[in-house]
Amino acid sequence: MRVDVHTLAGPYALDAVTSEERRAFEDHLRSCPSCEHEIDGLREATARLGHAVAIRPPAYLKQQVMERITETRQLPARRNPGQRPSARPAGAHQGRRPITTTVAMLTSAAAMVAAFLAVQADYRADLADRRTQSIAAVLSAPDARTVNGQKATLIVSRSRDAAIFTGAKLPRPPSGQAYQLWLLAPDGSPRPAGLLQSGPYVVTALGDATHLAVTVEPGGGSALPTTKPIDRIPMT
Amino acid sequence: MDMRTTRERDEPGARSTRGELDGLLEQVALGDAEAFEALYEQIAGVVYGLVRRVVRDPVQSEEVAQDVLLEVWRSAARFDPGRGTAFAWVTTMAHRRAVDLVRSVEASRAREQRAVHEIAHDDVSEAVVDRLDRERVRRCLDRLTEVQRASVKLAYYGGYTHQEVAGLLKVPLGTVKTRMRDGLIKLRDCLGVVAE
Repeated sequence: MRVDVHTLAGPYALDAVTSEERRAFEDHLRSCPSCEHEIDGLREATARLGHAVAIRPPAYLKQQVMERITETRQLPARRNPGQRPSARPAGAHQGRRPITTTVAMLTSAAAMVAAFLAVQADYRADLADRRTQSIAAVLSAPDARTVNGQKATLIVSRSRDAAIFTGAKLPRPPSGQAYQLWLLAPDGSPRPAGLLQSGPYVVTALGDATHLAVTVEPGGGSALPTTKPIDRIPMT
Repeated sequence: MDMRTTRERDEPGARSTRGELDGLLEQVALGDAEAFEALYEQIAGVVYGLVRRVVRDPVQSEEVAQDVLLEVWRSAARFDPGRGTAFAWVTTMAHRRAVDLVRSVEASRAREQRAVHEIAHDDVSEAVVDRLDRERVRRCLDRLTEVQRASVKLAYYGGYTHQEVAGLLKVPLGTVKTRMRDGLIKLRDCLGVVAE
């Protein structure tokens, strides 16, 4: 059953759709920020419809609810607070190809990154600006290369002295913990290279590091790895 | 044609409450039970009233309302202010659950029979709360065309799908979809509500 998504905005906002239609529409919303924005606006209207039928609940309802919350665990926020990425535009801006050409020429990893940026740009303007610039700098570098690790992918540019890490196959870390990145020197010694948040992460100041590793660490990060790497990607 | 230009939104009370709610929800996300109590005072009437209107059965309505309020406590940290107000977040949750329940428990024949009364429904004025807000919404609903208003009300308060609404109102499916959207846009503009 083909669902013509664009005409379903009104019904969807009113929950006047079947579960199948709802799923299809929500799939669509994930890739259509302007549709999502429209729905958000329509929802503010439907929300007010509740006012027309509001009535005082029985007094014991409050008592029951207040009691129950004392034994109800709260979910944490989706993202790890962790460290903000200290992304700075990496390297000089010489030898820059137009970003669209570059994206077409690189692997699907870069396409994922570009798609991510297109969505993020709408919602996280200030953070994405710095990260976007850094990512664009790497993607447009003439020597940008993709390396696939076991769980994640790196797009490395030595001329920009930076690499984009996209961990598409990483599950959410255990509660209170985070993924930490490490740059490994030629002798194998690790130095901290940032804590992962959602979306691509730009690792800068590669120096003479030969590999990038990922470990699970306590939420705030560690000075040295405390667990074995879950991935170790060469950056040659 | 409606020549009124005054917007229904120019009433201070409800506005400040809305901003307050977002702040309370933020506190709730940090485990603040007092903030939750204050939030309860503001939203329980809408949550319970809406659920009761859709689900109808008083006992089931209480259960659903309680579930919703607990879920608000449980998932407060998941609220994304970038996607709209706390009020819309809560009522969306309440409405979804109410609709899912009424569709699963009511056989379609019973729902069709109920629809006859739904269209001519008169709200019972027992223990009405938020009188100002209530009147604003009603005045804005009055500005919709007949089909827009009927479609929106059947869908929202009756829990009917747009296909069912088309059948009940005897209008084409495409028309119902458009009327629902246009009706909501008109409502949104009349109430002066924005997502951000």
